[in-house]
Amino acid sequence: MNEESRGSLYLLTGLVIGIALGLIYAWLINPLDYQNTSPRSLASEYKDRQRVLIALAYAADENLERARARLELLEDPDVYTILADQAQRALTDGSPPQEARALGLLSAALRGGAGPVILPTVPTFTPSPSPSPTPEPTLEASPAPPTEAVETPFPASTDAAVETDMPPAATEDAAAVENNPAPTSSSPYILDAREQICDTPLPRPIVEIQVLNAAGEPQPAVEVVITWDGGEEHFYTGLKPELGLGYADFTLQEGETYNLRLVGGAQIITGLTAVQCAELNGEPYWGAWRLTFVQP
Amino acid sequence: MSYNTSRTVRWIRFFIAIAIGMGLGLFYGWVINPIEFTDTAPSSLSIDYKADYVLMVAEAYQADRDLLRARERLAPLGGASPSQIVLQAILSAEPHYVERDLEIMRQLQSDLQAQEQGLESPGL
Repeated sequence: MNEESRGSLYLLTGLVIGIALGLIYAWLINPLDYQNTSPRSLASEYKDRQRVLIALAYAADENLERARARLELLEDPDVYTILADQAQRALTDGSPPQEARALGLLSAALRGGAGPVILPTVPTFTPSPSPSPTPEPTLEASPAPPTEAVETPFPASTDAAVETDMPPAATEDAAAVENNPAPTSSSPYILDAREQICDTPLPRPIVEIQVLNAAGEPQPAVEVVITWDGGEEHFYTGLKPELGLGYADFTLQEGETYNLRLVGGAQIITGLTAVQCAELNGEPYWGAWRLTFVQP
Repeated sequence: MSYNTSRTVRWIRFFIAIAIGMGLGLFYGWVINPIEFTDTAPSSLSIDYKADYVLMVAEAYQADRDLLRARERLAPLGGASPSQIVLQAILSAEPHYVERDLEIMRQLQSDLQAQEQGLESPGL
């Protein structure tokens, strides 16, 4: 090797050694200030907490743009799904119910542009009649207030053990219903349709809930309470925004009988059991209950 | 040039090359590709983000009035007392935040401080 080549090599060696030392110092010995991180670097546990706070703050101030800006700092890839998933987890991990509700509400608001939702309050007197029976009720909202309290129709059902129970307040006569003031945005939801759905075989029997406001718009963050012998579960609409902002579902266990109500509603839907459907050749498969609630 | 002089020059150049390399390494490590921190805690957030975190806690507190939960939510921000954490956030937020936000933060700070003082002097 001649002198000129040796000269270049030792300079290159020095450069490489220098770069290595520089990187060791910059990355290991004295990295950039650790005390000025941004929310995107938070551990997933803390990101979850941050999302809860964002959702609670949104529930308090109803400032969607601020919530959106705060969520962007977390740099989540799919913010709607992450919020909805977290809301689902919050329902089962013992978190306060208002956290799950706030997360679901924010997810729904971000996805559908749903404005602040006025949830029905528990009424002191609620006639809450079911809608008048019609030959073929549909899933559309029926904003016209009913004039008499009757049993909830469910023409598609073949289950004999189903009926709608009313709490004592709902046994007021029709005159009391007619004297009721005009419905408002905070009126309680009433059952508009109860159907057995057998169009698609399901891996497990479920009950699907759709909640619509008086204008027929899906309503997220409505709390649903389902009870059975020895158990109770709370869940919210809008936690599966891909299926609709007013949608919620719950898996039923075979052999169990469930009662369901919306928080703030006076109706208790009783006798919900696993729906068993049958193919033309007689082969059974699981179906679903579909309950549609509307604001009168 | 004598052999010794030539050797000295080479060493000098060698160290200059190392210095240049270190400069390049630092520039790359600090500016071009700084180390990415992941899995950090809220205590390491910059003061602006901490202030916003405190504001969110204050907004939640305004709705639920649950001081214990507010304390729990502030705990990840560090070792100082919760009222001190909120006070620091207020001080950093005062030049930028609207009065309404500052007010709910002050309310939280006031309630926290009152509770801490009550705990310190239970006999009073």
